[in-house]
Parts: sequence; C-alpha cells; structure tokens
Amino acid sequence: MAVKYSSYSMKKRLLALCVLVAFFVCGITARIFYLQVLNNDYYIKKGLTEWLRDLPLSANRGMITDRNGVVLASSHTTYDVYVKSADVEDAGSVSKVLAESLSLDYEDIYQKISKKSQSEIKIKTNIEKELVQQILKNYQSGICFTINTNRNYAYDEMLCQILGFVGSDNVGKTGIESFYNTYLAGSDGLKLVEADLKGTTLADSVTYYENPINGLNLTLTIDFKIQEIVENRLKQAMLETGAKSVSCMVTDPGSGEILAVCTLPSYNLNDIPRDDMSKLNLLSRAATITDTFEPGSTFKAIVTAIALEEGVTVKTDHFYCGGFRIINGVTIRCSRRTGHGSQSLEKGLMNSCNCVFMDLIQKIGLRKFYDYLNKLGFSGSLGIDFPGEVSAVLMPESLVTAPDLARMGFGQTISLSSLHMMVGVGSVINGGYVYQPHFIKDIHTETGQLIYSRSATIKENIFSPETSRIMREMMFSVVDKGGGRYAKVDGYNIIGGKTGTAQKYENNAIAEGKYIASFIGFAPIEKPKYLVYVTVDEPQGAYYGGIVAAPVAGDIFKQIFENDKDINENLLGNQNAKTIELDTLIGMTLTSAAGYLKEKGLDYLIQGNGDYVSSQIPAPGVMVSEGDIVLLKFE
Amino acid sequence: MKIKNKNRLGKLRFNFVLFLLMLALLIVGCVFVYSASFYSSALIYGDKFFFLKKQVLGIIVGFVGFFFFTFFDYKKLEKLRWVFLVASVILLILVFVPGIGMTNYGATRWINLKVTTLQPSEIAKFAFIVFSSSYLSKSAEKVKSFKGILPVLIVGALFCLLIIIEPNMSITICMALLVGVMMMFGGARLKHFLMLAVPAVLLGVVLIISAPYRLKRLVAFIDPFASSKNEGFQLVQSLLAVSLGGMFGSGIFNSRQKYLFLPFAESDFIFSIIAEEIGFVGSLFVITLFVLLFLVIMKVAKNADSKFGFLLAAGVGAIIIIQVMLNISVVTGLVPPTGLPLPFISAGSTSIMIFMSMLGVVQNVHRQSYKFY
Repeated sequence: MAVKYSSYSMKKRLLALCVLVAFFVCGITARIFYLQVLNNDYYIKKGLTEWLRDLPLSANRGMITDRNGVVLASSHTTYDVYVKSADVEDAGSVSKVLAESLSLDYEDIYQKISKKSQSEIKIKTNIEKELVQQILKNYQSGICFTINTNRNYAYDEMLCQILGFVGSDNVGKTGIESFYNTYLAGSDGLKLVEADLKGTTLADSVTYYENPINGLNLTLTIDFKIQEIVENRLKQAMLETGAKSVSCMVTDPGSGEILAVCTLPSYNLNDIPRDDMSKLNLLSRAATITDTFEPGSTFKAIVTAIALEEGVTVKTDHFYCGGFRIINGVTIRCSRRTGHGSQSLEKGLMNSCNCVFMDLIQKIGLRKFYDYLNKLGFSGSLGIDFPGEVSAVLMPESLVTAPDLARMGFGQTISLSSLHMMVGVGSVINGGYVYQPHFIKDIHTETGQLIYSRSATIKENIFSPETSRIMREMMFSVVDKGGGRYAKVDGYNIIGGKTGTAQKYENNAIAEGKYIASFIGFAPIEKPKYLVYVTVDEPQGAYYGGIVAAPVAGDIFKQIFENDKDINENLLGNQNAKTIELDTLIGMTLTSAAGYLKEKGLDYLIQGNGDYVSSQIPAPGVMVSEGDIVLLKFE
Repeated sequence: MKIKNKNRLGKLRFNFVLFLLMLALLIVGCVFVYSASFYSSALIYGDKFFFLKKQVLGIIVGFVGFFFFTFFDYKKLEKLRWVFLVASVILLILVFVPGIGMTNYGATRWINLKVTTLQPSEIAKFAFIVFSSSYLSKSAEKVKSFKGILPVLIVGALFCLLIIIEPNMSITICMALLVGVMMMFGGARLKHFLMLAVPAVLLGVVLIISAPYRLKRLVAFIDPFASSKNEGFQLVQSLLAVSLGGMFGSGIFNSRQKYLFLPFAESDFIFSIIAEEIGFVGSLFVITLFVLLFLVIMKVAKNADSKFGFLLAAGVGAIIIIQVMLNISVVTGLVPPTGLPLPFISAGSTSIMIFMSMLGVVQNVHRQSYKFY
C-alpha cells in the first residue's frame, strides 16, 4: 500500500465495490444477451408494423362452390379514392396523378381539392385494384383509399341459412362463411415502405412488396341441381300447405355428405335485412341443424331398428291394437281411434300404429335405448362442420317414467333436430353406420391446388347389415303399400320411408291444431344414395305427414331420379298395380266409408271429430292405385 | 516501501491506459451520436451534423478541463471544497430563476448560456465528491459515530432535494448512491448504512407515489406493451432496438430505430442504438471499456498518496460505473425509464466536460502517487 492513512480495511471495501460491480455487470450482460440473441424475435415481431407503413392490398375472399363447381358465393374487391385535404402538400401533383390514373379532368380535381372546406373529398368510387397500384406508384401525400368488398351470392335466397353472410369487415358472421372464415379470408397483402414515426417515407428505403394471399375456395358437398329441385318444390309446398315453415334436407346416407338443405321462409343474401335484427336472426337460423322438435312417427324407424338389433322382436311378430294402451294407469291413444286390430311388425310400421312401438320400446328398456341414442351422438355433438349445432333434448334418464318411455317409442317426449333424424335413419338403412355429417368436400387454392379433401368418417357401427336390410324392406313396404304411399314415384319402385305427424308443444302443453308433418325416405332400396327428409311446420288444413309431406318428398325423389343416370339404367319396370277411379265418400259415416275403402283395397286416414265425411283427398273421380291412402275429413 | 506502478512510461507519470480508454469511449460516442441523430437533426435543425458538432465542441472543452486538472494539484481542491459546494448550490437554485433556467419536457434542469446549456446537477456530483472526500479524509475518527457522518448526509440530502424538485429522479438516485459509496470508502460503519437504507427506500416510494408520472412510468415498465403508444413507448422502442441488433448488429449507421421512433436516441437512449448497430458483440465491447476504465481508476485510488486522493478517485470511478449500469439497465428494461446520460458517450456537453475533468483529477492523483520514489 502506497500510504497507510486509516485503520479500517480500505482494500476490503474497494474489493466489495468491485464484486458488487461485477455482479451487476454480469446481470446486465445476461439481459442484453437474452434480448439480442436468445429471444430477439419477440420484440421484432411486435415492432415490425411500426416502422413499415402498409398500403391497402386486400385479399379476395375465397369462393364457395357446390360439389360440381357451380359458384354459390364469390367476392370482388373495389376501392374508393379520396383526398384528405389536410394532408395535401402539393395540390397540383395530387391532381395530376389522379387525373392521369383515373382519366379524369385535371382542372376539375384541382378545384375540388383546393376547397379546404371539406376534409375528405371523394374522387372516384369502385375502382379496380390495378388502378390503385398505379396511383401508389406515383403516390402523393393526401390521397387515400377505402376498400369495398362485395360478397356476391349467385342465387340470392338459395342456401341462405347454410352459406351465411359476412359483416362489413368481410368476416363471416354466420353459417359456412363463419365456420370456414379462416380458410376463406386469406391474408391481406402489404406494400411495406420503410417510414419514420410520422409516416414520412424514407429516402433510401427498401420497399417490401407482398402479394395478398387470396382466400381458399371451398367445395361443398351440396349438389346444386338437387338443391334447386328442393328449393323449388318447397316454395310450392309453402303455397299448397299454408305452413309456417317447411324444411328439407337431402344427404348421402353412405357418407354423411349433405347434398341439399333448405328452410323456408328464407331471405336474400344479396339484400340482407340488416336493420331488422330480430327478423334477420329468425330467417338466418339454419333450423335443420340448430333447432329441435318432436319428430313423431318417423322416429319409429329408429326404434324398430333398435328392437330388431336387440332381438326383442322379429319381422313376423304380431301385435294387437285396440286404439290405446294403458301404461301405469295412463291411457295413451293410437292415431286411429278405432284401433288397428292384430297386425305384424311390418304392418304395424306401415300403419304407423303407436301401440306397436310402445310395446317395442318397453321391451328394449330405457337403459339400452339411451345407449343407442348416445352412440348415435344425439346427446352430445354430431360433429358437423357448421356453427351452432344443437344437441337432442332428452329427459334425464332418472326422470323418465314408463308412460314417457312409451311415448318416446313413437317419437314424442324426445326432441331432435332434422340433422339428428338424418344421422339416425341414415344408420338404420346404410348397413348400420353412424357417419359424421358434413358440408365440406374439399378446399383448393385460387389456382386449383388441393389443400384439403374430406372423406367419410364413420363414428359408430350400431346395426348389423341384416337389421338394416330388414328395415329397408319394411320401409319399402311403408311407401309401397303403407302410410308413405304419396311419396311413391311412378316408374321408380325404389323408395323406402316413414311418415310422421307430431303434435307441437307450446309452453309445455299440446298446442291445439298445431302439427309438424314429416316424411323421411331413401332410395334406392338396395344401396341407398339419397336420404330425403321433409318437414312441414304448422300446415293449414291437412296435417298428416303421409298427406302433406310425403308428396313433396316424392316429387323431390322423382326429379332427383330423372337427373341420376345410374338409377335410370338400373331401373326395373315394375308397373302392375291396379288403378281404380275413386267414388265420392262425402256424407258417409266413418263405418260405411271405411267399409267401402277396404273393399276397394284402399287405406285411409281420419282427421277431425265430425260424424260424416266432409271432404276427401284425393277428390272424387281421381285415379288411385290399390293400397293408396285416402284422407277422410270429418268437420 | 515497495515500488509500484513501475511501467516503462513511469517517468512521464501519466496514466496512458486511463487516457486511451477515455479516448476510445469518446470516439465511440461521436460515432453513435452522429448515427443516432443525423436523421432527426437534419429534420429538426436542417443540419445532420448538429449534434455531432455540439458533441465535438463539448469534447474540446472537456480536454481543456482534463489537462487542466491533470496538472492542477488535486490537494488544492481540498481548500476549494466550499467554493465548489456553494457554487453548485447557487447553480442548482439558478435553474429555477425565470430567464436563466430552461424547461424542457416538463423538467427545469438547464441553465441557458445562449450558445449552449449547462446542467448544474452534473456539476453537483463533482462538487459532492470533492466535498465529501475532503471531509471524510480529515475526520477519520469522527466518521465512526453517526454524528460524524451527518455533514456528508446533510450536504448529500440538500443536493438530492434541489435535484429532485427540478425534477430529475435519475440524477437524484445517482447522487444518493454516490453518498452511500463515499461513506463506505470514508469508513462509516455498516450499521449506519442499514439505518439509513430503510428511510431512503421509504422516501423513494413516497417520491414515486407523489408524482403520478413516475407511477405511470413504473406501470409502463412492468408491461410496456400495455401502453406502447404512451408511457411504454420509449421502453418498447428501446427493447425493439436492442432486439434488432442480434449477435452482430445491423451495421454502423444502419439502425432503424433512430428514425424518430426512439426519443433521445442520441442522449439517454444511445445504448439502444449501439446495441442495434453493433449487436451483442459490440455492446459487450463497450461495457468492457467501461469496466476496464473503472478498474484502472480503482487502481489509481488504491495507490493514492493520501486518503483525500483515494476518496476522490474512488468517488469518480463509482459515479461513472453507477451511471453506466443505471443507463444500460433502463435501456434494456431492467429498471424503469429515467433520463440519465451514458458517461463519455451520450450527447450532452455538460456531462462530457464534467466527466473528462473528473478523469483529469484522477490523472493528477495518479501523478502524485509517484512522489515518493
């Protein structure tokens, strides 16, 4: 030590400070190393947008087409040109650039933008992207653009609830537009110009140009032709039945692909009633997927298949119907007050006799029955690629009483969506497979490169091929000779199905005179390609599914067949039913009318509580085939 | 007595390592002051060399100070301690006199000398080192009692008070730390430190709460991105600059952040630009220069021929390293942002002149340690 001037250890204190400094220096160095080397992406990503000023180059939203490439929705982007007078530095060059690029009059623009009274002056609307790029090349301070994206729906109302619509920000709000928004949206391009904080472009700046990536194109499983057939026939049905609403869904039961969906009333996608939110919410609901109702007798197809699969019955079993069953002291009526007498299982399905299915479901038992519903995916999710899918409304197992279970046997006390019925009945007839329903077929880039291709997804196998075969036979009989006769298509003896008529409930009570008439059918029998489900909500007048919904489904089938080569080629001429002319039955009592119809080999349905036949469908004089159904109204 | 410091330049009695380190830091400073400021100076003053010219002028005056003190017997400073003290207090008060004081960014920290500005708080640090060194070297025995350290504490507190009302939180913190370091070297007892640490921390909390902008800055520090357009802006931009540097940097003059994104890029936040342009390797180089300078000064202190000389040199070394570490911690988001120049590098002529003069004093302490051989 140079000189000793103190008793305390100065050296120690110097050392202490050096250690302290060393400690802090290490800490700071570690921090710099972390920021610069270990984690330097983090802040760079955050900061990038700040020093690169982007100019509008928005991506086009992808197209939506049907399975054969028919364009259903497409986009077109245009721009509006404005001048912000506050930002104009040189009115002359602004006018020059705009006049040259837009072929407008120089003087005109110059005068407009020299008026300082307006802050934003509109120069031209709806110009194309190429013109914008041309203006950007000679960009002058003060020029600005706004983007208009026009989403175009080629067929106005068609598929409106399914396609959905986009908001003013070009983001899908409902339906497919919303579910597949990520794919459809693409990503906006950027023209990145290095700029300082105030947005002044730097003199020697490098310009990055990134083309917008246009959205991907979606191919749906929808078949435009079938969709068109369905929409047209439903419009007619709305007029004929005076119903509150009609719906139809067509799927391929062998894959879960949805071929057509329609719910009326609908709305125009190109003229969305945006100012009336409650109306829009109502009309834009994809009710077939998002709403439930009590399906009624169509559900009997599923109950029968479960009963066969579980071995609690066989096709030739006999059941007696006296017009009602008494279960735990509760009387539950059959649809025909007079009863169906003794009938086989097949006949019971043809007659849609409630008593038969009350017996079946009791034999199956609640536990097993609910197991099947779970396997079908009713209690959870069917997994459709669509927003807002509803699950079935099922009573909690512990609360189900014997009469409740009995009613479930004919499709009441259980609430399902149309989609549930499609999946359920689909599995009954397709060999027993539960397919995941879906809308998407594949996804392509703008240039046609395949990005994604959807294949059929089997979730469960719940019925044996044998059960399925028997069900197809019996359901064929329902259409051929039973309650579904009006779905029959002349020349094509290949349709099976089941009708349904369900009373509607409002505020937990049966709503008097309000029904949902329905028909679910498939074709061809051997290897079903089409499953069609028609529901008519609150028809005026006739309300039986077999009368109201079956003819609609029949017409749809007919037109589908006419367009399907395979079906036409494999067609077997099967035209040997006797035809007779129907006499008038008006004024007769139920007994005498029933006697007359039985003698002629015709079936009948009763509506109303009067003593005499007040009207009949079909009308007197119409040619009918043996086994056809006549609706007798007693009013 | 053993002979130390016998290197081949011994006869010149001039610490060349100290001088070269200072020169290196000044050159780094000029390069980056230019790089960080040419865009904004061209935009604001119409001259892209505006800040560089001021910096070079400051360095020239700084050299005058450096060489003056190199040959000025540091022991005479002991007698001048009251002159320094009173002059600093007057200057600190003058800041508040309208017409003389200058207010920028909401703080009154400068004295307007027409051609340039003077920041009295920078001078106050030097004055405090001289005063406390003098007192502590004379009263070695008194210092052991609490009463004995009171004069140092009172003067320190007075300076802190005058600086905090400007307001200038960062120099206040430096001053407070300096008071602590001086007392430590002066031989104050450890228990007195602990007694003082508690009220000092409490006072700090009160100061933060009393000024809403400090609290906002503190919140912005915790999550700068929550207010990246307001309070957190500076920190976000600084972190971004540092990150952009990577291992080797974007190259000298190539920083992006100086394009008006980073406020005070040429002064308080110059280290961000250094980190951005020369990367981790370059940052490490600059930090190494400072650490070497600190060690050289400490060695001079250790070999000083008097306790006064030891305290003077150690005080100068301490204030340099305190300011370097605080500054870099702010820039890298380790402590909340406060405006504090990086010694020898940041633009700011007062700071440059004072630090260079202080090194001159250290140089003189070094020269006098040869007397005995």
